[in-house]
Amino acid sequence: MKFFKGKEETDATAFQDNSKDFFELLKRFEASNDFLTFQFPNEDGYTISYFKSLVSAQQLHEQVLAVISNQPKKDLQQLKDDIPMEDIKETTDISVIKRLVLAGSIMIRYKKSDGKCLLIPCGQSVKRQTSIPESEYTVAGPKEAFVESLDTNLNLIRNRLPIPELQSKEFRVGSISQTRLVVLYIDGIVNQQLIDTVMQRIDDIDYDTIVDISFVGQMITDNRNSMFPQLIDTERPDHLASVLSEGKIGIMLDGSPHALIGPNTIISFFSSFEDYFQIWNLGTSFRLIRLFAVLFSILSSPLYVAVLTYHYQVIPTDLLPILISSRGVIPFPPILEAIVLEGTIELLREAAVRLPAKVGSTIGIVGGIVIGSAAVEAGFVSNVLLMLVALAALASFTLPIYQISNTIRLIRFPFLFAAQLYGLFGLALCSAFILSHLLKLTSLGSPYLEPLYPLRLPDFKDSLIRLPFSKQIKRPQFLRTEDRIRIRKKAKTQNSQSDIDE
Amino acid sequence: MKFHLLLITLGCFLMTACGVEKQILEDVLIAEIVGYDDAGSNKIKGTVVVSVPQPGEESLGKEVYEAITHDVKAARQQENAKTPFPIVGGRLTVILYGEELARKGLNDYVDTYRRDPMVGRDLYLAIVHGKAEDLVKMELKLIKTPGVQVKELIEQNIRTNLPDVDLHRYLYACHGKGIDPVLPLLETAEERIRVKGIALFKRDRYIGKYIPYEDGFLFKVLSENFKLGSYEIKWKENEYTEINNVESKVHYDISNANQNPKVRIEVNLKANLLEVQGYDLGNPVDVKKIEAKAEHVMGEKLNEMVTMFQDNNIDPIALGDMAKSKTRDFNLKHWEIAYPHIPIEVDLDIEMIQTGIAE
Repeated sequence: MKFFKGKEETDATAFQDNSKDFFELLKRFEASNDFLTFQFPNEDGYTISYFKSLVSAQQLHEQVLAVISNQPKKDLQQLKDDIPMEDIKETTDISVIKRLVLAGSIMIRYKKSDGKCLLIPCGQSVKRQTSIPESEYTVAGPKEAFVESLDTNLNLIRNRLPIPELQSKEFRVGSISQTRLVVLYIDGIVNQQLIDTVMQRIDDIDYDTIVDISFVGQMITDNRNSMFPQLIDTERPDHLASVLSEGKIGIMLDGSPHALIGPNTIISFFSSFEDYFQIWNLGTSFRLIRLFAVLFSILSSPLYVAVLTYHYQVIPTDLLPILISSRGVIPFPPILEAIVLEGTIELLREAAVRLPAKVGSTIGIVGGIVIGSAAVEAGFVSNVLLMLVALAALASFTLPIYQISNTIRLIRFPFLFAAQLYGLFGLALCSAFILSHLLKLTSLGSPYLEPLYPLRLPDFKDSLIRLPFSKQIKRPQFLRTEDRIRIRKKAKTQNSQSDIDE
Repeated sequence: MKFHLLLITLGCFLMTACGVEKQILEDVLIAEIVGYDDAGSNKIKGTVVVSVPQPGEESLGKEVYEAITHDVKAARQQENAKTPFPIVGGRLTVILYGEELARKGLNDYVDTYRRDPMVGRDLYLAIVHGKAEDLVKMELKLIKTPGVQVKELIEQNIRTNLPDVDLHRYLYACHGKGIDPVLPLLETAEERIRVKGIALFKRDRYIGKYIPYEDGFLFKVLSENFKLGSYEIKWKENEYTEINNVESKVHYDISNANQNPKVRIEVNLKANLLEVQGYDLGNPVDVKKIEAKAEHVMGEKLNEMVTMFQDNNIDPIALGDMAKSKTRDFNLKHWEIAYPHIPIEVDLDIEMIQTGIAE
């Protein structure tokens, strides 16, 4: 491990050292075929160089070349005033030149041998239009999702939170990719210590290319080996905006259509943003159903294995004949049966994710109907387990956050093995291990199991249950916000019942 | 970190020995009902019914195994000699004892179930009039498995005519002071299983007497509060009234338990009239008459029943237990000597709260 790390470091420094000299840099640029250098408007004119793959041809023609060709040759300072573009730089600083040219600026020199150049930002980047959220789709509520362009994403957030307190701190991460990263928070609400923690962790990121926000997420979480995600990965700008005003921090990366949110509690992974679009009692019920679904999804097949292998005593009398007759023909012990079936479901899922959507539905039919019924008829698995496993898979799809559903998917295997080893005692043992891990876990320094542990009763208002908005007077305690109050007009709620109805 | 890894690996290796014994569902024969009979010369005959899985079918077949041994566990051992899979008792629902065996005392044959952690909470004991074997072997029509049938039969009747009896209550009554157990008495009649009555015990010995099924209601009225059940009052030949219990409450008043005990049992019965012959229910005077007469007829029966208990020196209503809990420095010896001669007065108060439309 250390060996590789060392090598990587020398590579990165070598890359930076090489571009010390301007002409050296130019030479490196010219090695690429898409880097153009020519004289304009004639042989004695300016030397213009740019990456044609990065520059918008229309802007170049209309706003740069058109201006230059109509005038006699002036020095760069004057030329800068003539060109109607913002943020033009005149510099000899090699690092600036390198960065801007690679971001799509046009470099204009007075003479070919000059080291001083004018940099006109003229970049174009291919962008996707904002589209409907896919992994966090809700029936009600806004249908906008983040896209790959950071500026578009910031725009989506700024439009939702039009206050000067919304601040963004920009970083560059990745020694090669130099990706723009933005930390978003609302000053005056968020805990200053939290910002310091996040900024420090981002400063410590040391990697060559950061392609997606999930890289960042893995690098800045508290426990990098935990199966449980500690930062929420959202694609909904409305979600991000609402948690920002709660006092959380958002992190966005250029090129990634997701934002990271932290700190979180485990319960926030089970709560869909749609819970807030519904009336509170419905929202609460669905949230509880989801929690139950998770427990069911983890425990159903391990329970089956434990009970059928060790504890025939707990099976209700009426269920006994059904279980025995469906198990009677199966040549495997319950654990193998369960592993075969769980494995099949995992295969199906993996296959369905990798395939394009149209083929994916075929996989569903083949897997669900053909393999399922064939496996039962061939006597490989029992009806009851097939039903349990299918239900468990279904239950795990109710989770609104993709990362935790992967966790739930995998976590039932240790439970299965524990059930096979020690029966119900094994299940208890395994739960104890997982629970103690969760107790120890923190998300950006705040306890993961809050409000259950440490017990903070006021925070129950928006955790397992969701109380109406009028009860959400204070922000969550675990965020330790500077401004704790959310609703200030207290007196008005007293007679909010009476609308003007005279 | 390395230390932790070592601990985990060690744990994995060492704890493999801690596993419990595997009992995969289809690789055991689950005993449903077991009957024990006296087989002479200190031996018992155990008969057990196990469910046998029929591959591909929803219902279970059943198989009967028998063994004659000295004790219960040895019987199971012998039965195992004939079966492909071990017989397990974790889902036993009913244990039956033949009349002969019950007369000799059940302690020796209940003991193993008392101490078996595999045996569940809802296990019923019952006495069979005749041989338990016959009942166990019966081919039933309604529900195929006799275990379920007998269990449902007892549970159904516990709500109306049988006192609450299961293994734990039996054990409490058997080993407690000033209390004697009762068990349901079953019989086989014309291809059916029937509750014959309530078998009366002195300690663990069946005394050979029982309360007939029809009077089970009266015994239940005396011994606990409950809400169901019905009773047929006989006025004279060919004149009956059927009353339905709405709510029955019993209160024991025991005074002077250590010197000169006196017991008063107050029973408050709220009932509705189900069937009446010979009265006009539209007339409130008649209803009062029925109440008074029912109190008289039933009160007499209750008094008879209590006197019968005293004559046999048994205490299935647990009066001694009650006295013990209510009296400071309770003298059990004195109570036991005095019990057969204690004046016990049963005060029955019937209130007909409904006479209109019956069920």
